[in-house]
Amino acid sequence: MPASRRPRKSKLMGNHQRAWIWGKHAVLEAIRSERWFPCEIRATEEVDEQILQELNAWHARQAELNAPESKPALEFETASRLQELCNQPDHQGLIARMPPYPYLSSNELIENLSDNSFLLVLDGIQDAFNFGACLRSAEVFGVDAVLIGTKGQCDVNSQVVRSSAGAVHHLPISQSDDLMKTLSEMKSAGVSLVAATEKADDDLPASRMQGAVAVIIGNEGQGIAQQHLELSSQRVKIPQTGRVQSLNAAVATGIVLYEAVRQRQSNHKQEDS
Amino acid sequence: MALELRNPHSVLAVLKHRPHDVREIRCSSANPGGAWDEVLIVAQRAGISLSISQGGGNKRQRGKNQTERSSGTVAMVKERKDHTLKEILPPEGNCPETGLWLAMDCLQDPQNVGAIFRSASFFGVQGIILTKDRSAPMNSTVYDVAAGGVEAMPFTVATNLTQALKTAKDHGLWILGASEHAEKDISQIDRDRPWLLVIGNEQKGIRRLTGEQCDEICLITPRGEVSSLNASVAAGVLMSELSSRSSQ
Repeated sequence: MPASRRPRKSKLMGNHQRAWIWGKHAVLEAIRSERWFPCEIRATEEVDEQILQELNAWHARQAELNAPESKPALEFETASRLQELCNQPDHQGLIARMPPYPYLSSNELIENLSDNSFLLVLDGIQDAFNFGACLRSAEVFGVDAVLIGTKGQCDVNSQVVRSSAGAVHHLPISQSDDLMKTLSEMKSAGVSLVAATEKADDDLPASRMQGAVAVIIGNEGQGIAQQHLELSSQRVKIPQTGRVQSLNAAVATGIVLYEAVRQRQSNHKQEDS
Repeated sequence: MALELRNPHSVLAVLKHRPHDVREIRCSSANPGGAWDEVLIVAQRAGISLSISQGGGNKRQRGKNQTERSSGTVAMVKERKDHTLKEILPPEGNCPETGLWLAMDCLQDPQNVGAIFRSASFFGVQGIILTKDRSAPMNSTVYDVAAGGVEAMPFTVATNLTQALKTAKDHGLWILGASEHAEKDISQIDRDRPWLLVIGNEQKGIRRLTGEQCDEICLITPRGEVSSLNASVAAGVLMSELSSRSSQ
């Protein structure tokens, strides 16, 4: 019986083709990070020797860790069959079927806060490309964890895995049913909430982002929800020098995080001297 | 070839800058909602033909790939004409002391090109040089992702980027390459110059011959395990740094 008709006990990240992540980089990061385990992996026979060894080692390790019936499958198929499964032409001969993303609970997020936590809060990012790019930037700039809500928020799906360039496998992401409540708890725990909004009076360089800080980035269309804006400790805008009035959400995220890193590093240097 | 724009904000920008280039707007209903309503009002005032198909026809549908959103309303718009290289550069012998220009060395993802145009407009970039071969064409996706950022931005398409960079230098610009292999962080780059920032291809970065034309090469120092930013995010961070005088 082909693996696809085997009865499944566990849920998947998405239905049908949407449960698959594709590409060498994405799949290998998944098995290396050991945080979000594939349910099954399909590869073409032509896959590199080195990758094949890594896959086999992973498969053998899973066989030891899991009961035989829940052991993830590793099977070989033709390239066109892989394309059929994941609906993507650029699968590079390697795809993996994923369970739902293992989000960090908001309680765990709050418990792990320190006086130097560096967090990113996404308030309703709808576009998978934007979401992925925000995660990628967060990883590059050394953010400790990302907090997202549920309302109007894109989930971690296969497209997000792709556009995050593997960041989803390294970066803890917490999803909260009640973003307002989690933000309030973070604020009570001493985290400064810095909202990036066009409606701010202060320019980004005037912000104070040393110590425990959470950068809040708003939805592509409406920006940050009013109640979250009111809760925030500082409201800052990226100084505009041209004509188009707003930036892409992922670009704005990158710029604010870069400024945060710059301030946090200069703080360390002051402490050192 | 006409572009088929699906982002109401990119259509509004076309209506503002060159209303005669909007040929037709096709909507699925008389009240498409959101920013499209504003598009229809402006378009009607400009006397642009509207075709409304109620019910059937262009219903809300899933796009070709999973993430594409589409309301079923589209505007058919003429492409913008590109400029010549000379037109986007400062006049020879009369270069301003500061300012920012941009070049994209074989960027392949229209999403990135669009996002870069949008950021460039936000930060007041004075002109953009694109490459002709192995590069994303200026298609509908670029216009839509730019959300109006293409309309007021002078751009030129160069067949030979190396030659174009040489010409830019003759006109007084300094060339700054962005590469993850650079040794200097962007914060160490002198702001008081008219820079032309070169963004490289998503995978390969800037080409060797392009790199040889650069006066300086810089990077955004990473802190995590993923070593590089998305090309459009990197470009945004660099433009923000180069255009911010207040942080100096």
